[in-house]
Amino acid sequence: MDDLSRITIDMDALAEVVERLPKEAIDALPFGAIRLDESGQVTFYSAAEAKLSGYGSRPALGKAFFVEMAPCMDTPAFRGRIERAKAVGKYDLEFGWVGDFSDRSRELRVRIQPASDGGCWIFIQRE
Amino acid sequence: MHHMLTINTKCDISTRSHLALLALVILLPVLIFVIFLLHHQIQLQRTRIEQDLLKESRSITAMIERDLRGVTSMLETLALMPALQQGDFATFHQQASRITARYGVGIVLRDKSGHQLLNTRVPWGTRLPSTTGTDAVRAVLETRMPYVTDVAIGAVSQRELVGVVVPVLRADDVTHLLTAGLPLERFRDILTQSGIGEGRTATVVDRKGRRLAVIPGGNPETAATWDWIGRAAAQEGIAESTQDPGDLRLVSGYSRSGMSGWATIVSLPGDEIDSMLVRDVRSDILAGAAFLLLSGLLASVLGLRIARAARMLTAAGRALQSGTTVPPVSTSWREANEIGLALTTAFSRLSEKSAALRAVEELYATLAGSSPVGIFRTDPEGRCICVNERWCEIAGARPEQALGNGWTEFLHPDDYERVFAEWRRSALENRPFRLEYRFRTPSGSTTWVLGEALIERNDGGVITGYVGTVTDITDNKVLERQLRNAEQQLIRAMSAGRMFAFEWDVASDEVHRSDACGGILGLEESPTTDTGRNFFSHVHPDDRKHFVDTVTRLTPDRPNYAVSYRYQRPDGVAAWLEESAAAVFDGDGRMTGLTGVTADVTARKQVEAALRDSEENLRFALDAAEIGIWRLEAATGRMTWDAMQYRLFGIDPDPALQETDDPSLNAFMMLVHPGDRTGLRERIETAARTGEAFQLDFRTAEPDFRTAEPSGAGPRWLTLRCGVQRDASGQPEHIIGVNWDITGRKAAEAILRDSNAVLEARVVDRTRALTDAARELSAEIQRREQAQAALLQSQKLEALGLLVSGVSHDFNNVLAVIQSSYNLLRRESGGMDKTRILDMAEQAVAKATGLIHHMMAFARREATHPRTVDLADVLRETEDMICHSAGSRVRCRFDIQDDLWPSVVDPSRLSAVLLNLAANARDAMPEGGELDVSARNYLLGERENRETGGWIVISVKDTGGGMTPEVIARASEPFFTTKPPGKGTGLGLASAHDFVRQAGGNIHIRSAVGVGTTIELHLPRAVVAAPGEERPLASELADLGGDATILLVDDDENLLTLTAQLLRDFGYAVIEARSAETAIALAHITERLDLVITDILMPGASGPTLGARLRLDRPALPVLYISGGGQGQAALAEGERMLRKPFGKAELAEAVLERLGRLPKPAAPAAVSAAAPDKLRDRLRNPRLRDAYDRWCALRSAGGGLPDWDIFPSDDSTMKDNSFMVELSGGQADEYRYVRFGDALAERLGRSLIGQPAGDDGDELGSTGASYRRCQETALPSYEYARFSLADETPLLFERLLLPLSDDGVRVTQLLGVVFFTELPRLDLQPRS
Repeated sequence: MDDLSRITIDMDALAEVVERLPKEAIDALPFGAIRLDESGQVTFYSAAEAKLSGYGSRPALGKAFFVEMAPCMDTPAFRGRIERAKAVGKYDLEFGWVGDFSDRSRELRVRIQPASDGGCWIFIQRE
Repeated sequence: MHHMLTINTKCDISTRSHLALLALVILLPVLIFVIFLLHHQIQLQRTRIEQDLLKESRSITAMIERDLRGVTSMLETLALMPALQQGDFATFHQQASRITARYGVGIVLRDKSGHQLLNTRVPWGTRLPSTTGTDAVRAVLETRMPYVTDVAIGAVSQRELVGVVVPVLRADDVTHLLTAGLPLERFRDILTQSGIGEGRTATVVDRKGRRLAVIPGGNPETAATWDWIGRAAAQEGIAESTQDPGDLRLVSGYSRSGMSGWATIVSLPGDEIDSMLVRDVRSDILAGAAFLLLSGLLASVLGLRIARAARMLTAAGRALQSGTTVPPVSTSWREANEIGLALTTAFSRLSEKSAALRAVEELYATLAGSSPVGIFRTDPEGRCICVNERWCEIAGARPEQALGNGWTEFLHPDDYERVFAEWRRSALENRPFRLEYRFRTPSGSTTWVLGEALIERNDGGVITGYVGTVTDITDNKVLERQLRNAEQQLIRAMSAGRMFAFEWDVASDEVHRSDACGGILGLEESPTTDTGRNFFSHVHPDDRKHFVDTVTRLTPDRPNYAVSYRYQRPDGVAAWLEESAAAVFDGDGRMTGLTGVTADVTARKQVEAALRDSEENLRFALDAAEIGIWRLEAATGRMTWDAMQYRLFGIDPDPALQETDDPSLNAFMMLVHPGDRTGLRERIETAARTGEAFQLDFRTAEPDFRTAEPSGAGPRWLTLRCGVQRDASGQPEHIIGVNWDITGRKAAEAILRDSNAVLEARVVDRTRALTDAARELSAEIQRREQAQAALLQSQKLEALGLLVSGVSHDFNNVLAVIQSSYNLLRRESGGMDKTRILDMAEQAVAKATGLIHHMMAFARREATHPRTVDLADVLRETEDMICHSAGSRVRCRFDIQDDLWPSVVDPSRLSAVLLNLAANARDAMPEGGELDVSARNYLLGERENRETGGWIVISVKDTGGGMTPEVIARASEPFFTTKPPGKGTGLGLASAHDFVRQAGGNIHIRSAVGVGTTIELHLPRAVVAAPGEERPLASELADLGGDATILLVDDDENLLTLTAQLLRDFGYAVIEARSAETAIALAHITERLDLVITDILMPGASGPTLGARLRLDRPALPVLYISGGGQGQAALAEGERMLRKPFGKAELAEAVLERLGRLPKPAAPAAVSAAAPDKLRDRLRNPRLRDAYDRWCALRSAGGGLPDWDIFPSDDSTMKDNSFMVELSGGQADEYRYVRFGDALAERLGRSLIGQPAGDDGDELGSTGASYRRCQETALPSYEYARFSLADETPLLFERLLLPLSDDGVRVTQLLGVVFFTELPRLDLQPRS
């Protein structure tokens, strides 16, 4: 757990660090982690994210993240930023965000980095 | 059927028309052929006539030629006459004159020149007219052949003549020409002789077309002339002509004579030919027309007959269509008669079927009317066509209401969808519809029906409709529901009671059980059948006999039984079952079966067992602890005692030995020591009255009368504790009490009282030892700090030595000036002005003073605590000294960024380090060079320093010889030096290293031989603003500070020192600890502790753990947590306060006061917003955003409401350029319009948004609409940021702060947005994938 406590959402190569972790460790992180493949399908959805977002244990894998799970994030602004960055190939984005599944006034930090399989990682920390 | 009789009017042609068309089709080609034949006939006839004309002209030509040839022969004969040959013209004249006389032909002899020698028309010797040669003469002379001339006037006869000229040959030589003159009458005679046909005209013309002869003579206009015939080139042919318009049209046959070149023309007028032809064909045409008329009449008669037959058939068909009797069809047309017969037969059959159908319909109507089920019929779209009366009764509708879609109005609304879904499904799957559903009648009652419907299809498989029935099953439904309810109640009751029903048949050994048995018998499912044998095999062996005995004892008189037994469940658990059942007997008194219920009483049995165990345990415990129990009836004062109670009082529990049979309160009191008796009795009586429990120690009476002697002498101490049992009305009913012996404890307490004083003395000793240890600890810390200070001092002195050597030269110069100045003054010699001397001296003194001031400032022995320092100030102060140290050969340059961030360092150490570096640089440049010292801010360059957000880089660069990589590698080792012995200590770079490391930064050395060396000190940006920038603390907060002891825990030494200093400045006493363990130790030896401020993450125990430990001793101790970065408020328990680094002095003061509970309670609306904006301020990165936020907060707290729009000073152009304002447009709650837009933003966006609405589409200013709404709804500031690092672009931080503004202080009317874009240092992004 000492190792995990060093992993914060601010780390530089966060996506690389997270990808080296076993699934249980990612689930235990204090922030949520979501991996999308190139087509925007959810290929990983950490237990922390399920708990923190209030999305619960509904099956998440294989669903189009923006269309089925987070329709409120499917705004041209949010999605467009990811798409533009993906087109470039190397990127590191961070947003302060407002709004969530269960609590619209909760504040979020969202970090987006490329995943090794061509998709991207979305890390979400709620305060 | 109807549509099949519809007549298609587009091809409506009657039979008569058809027949007429047929006749036309047959006659038309025949007529055309006949006309063609007639035409051909006429042509033939015309050709024949024309050929006749031609033939006649030929014969006439031949006749003329014959005549001319005769004349020629005669002339040739004359030419051979001897008279002529001999030149005896007179004789010749005489002989020739006979010919003239006989035939009327004049003979003329001419010489070769054409002069007439003799002419038979006049007597011989008559002078003849002189004529010269003619064409004829020339032609004959040339050809020596006879020649026939055209018409000419005879020179002698003066008449129109035609000449035939022959040569007179003598010895093959033409000597004379002999001419016969023929009168034209000769040719007319020939024509007359030719005998041409009636009406024809024959004409002879010469070569020149002059008419020679015409017959008949009296009709010259019908005679053709050569004028037009001569134009024809042919020898012979047919020609048609009209001489002039309006003239007679002539058809002529002509032929030309080869001998004379004359032409004969036989003509006939064209009209005459035509009339001849018409005459020829007229009779044929008349005959043909007559035949045609006859056949037309016949056809018409036939057509009428066929049309009549068709009319009769049509009438028969119409009759069939209208259903009336079909009249018999009798015509002369056989087929029509047959069709008529078929129609008549069809009508009779149809009549029979209609009758049958009517009968069926009547039957259907009767059935439908009297049917017990509702019947309906719909079209393919489900529109009702008909319903019967019963349907109407069931649905509560009138028949006309059901028609069309009206029937759906009567469906129960809850079943509407279900019915149609099932309907669609059944139609789709091609199966009958069957569903139970409800009608709701207009009166409101509900009818349950079973609806069934079939699909009706036509032969092509197309759905033509649906027919179905509805059966009223309301009563069934009610019964069903009641039955189900009853069943469910039974099941629920059985399930609640954990029981199941069973029935056992003796003969078949079959057992039937109800559903709930599975759970009770430990089966996964609930098999409702079993065998008695199988069931019995699971009964516990110990209980089987009892079970069998119970059942075999049953008789018809006493058939009921109840038996408990254990049941071995398959999962190994033994369940206690209780069976309540009755035996069933047959007429002979033989048992045939058992029926009843079996209940699971395992829980009850377990409780019973537990109770038994518990009672035994209690009894054992009471006995072991020697506790006696008694019970007193409040009303009667009667008591019951247990055996131990007796023993406690030294009485044998054996009833036979007791002095009183009935223990009572009075008897009890007798056993109590007289001194305690009254008190005890009062307490017990009070308890009996009020129900108050109590505990009391008392002594027993003297044991002199006891039979059973307890150990020890004297009265014994007992403790009595009792409680009260109340009845249903709440009145005390029983008092239940226990007694136990405390004689031993009482004795011990006495001893303890004696030794207490000794113990306290020992505790004091121990505490003193701990205090001493702490003092030792502090002293040790003190000593270590002193040692460190001494080390620093020695480094400073070393640097000072360098400095002194650098400045001594200058200093000597200064002193020399002073000295000489004073010398000059003293001598007062020379022409020098005294004032000037004094000026020089004063300048020198001022310079010297400055130098000394700098040296003193540097060497000042002051505490080596790092503090927040404005680096620019330190560097500027040090500039002179460094440049002095560098020496005169080195050009010294300082470049310091204006708004340099503060850092937490020891300024004097920084000066010393820089001096050392400068000295190194000087030594590296013995021949002179350049020394550049620069300082600049560096944002987010190193990953280790995320939490503070920036670095200050101080670089010292020289142009000296540089270092090799080996030297660089060892450069930071202490005492490593490249300088000659005595020149350097080798501590310069090492101390720089040490200094930077202690400040939390690092050092970078870049050097290349021959180029120079650059040494960069990376110092972290101070987490707390430098004192100069700190906003003044609100005076009311400052007044609240002080008079509190704070334990400050942080593993970061710099931060610990700094925060401690701040707290001491506020007037607090501060205890510092670098770890949780130290903090716990220090807390133990500290008497007063008002607050703990601790970092959350530390080596060893964490902040929250420390807080929890300290609160074991001081439960109300407030704790203020400091967070370094990643840890959120979420990690803390409810109500805890967290301060996020970096924090300002004011924030710290406020947080401490809040934790100490000294802040006045904020007003209600502010309380809601207190937590969120604070968190928000922590997150703002750009200082200008914080300024804006602070200004908003200040205005808000000052005015008591939302600020109005004018919150920035008008001259603050940075804020103006980087902000925008949106206004709520109109009455819409969520429409915003930009009313102000800063220039810097417009430049970045490429356009200004003034006047435009703010939508949800994201732009450079972030996702707008939602944030605006939220800010407006909450009336709180909102903050969003985005950091973009894309490929090779410079990373960009976008921050937006939204501040709600109001015109009236309450309602949000405008939103002020402050936006900053900050370029961040580039991170080394690698493309992945």
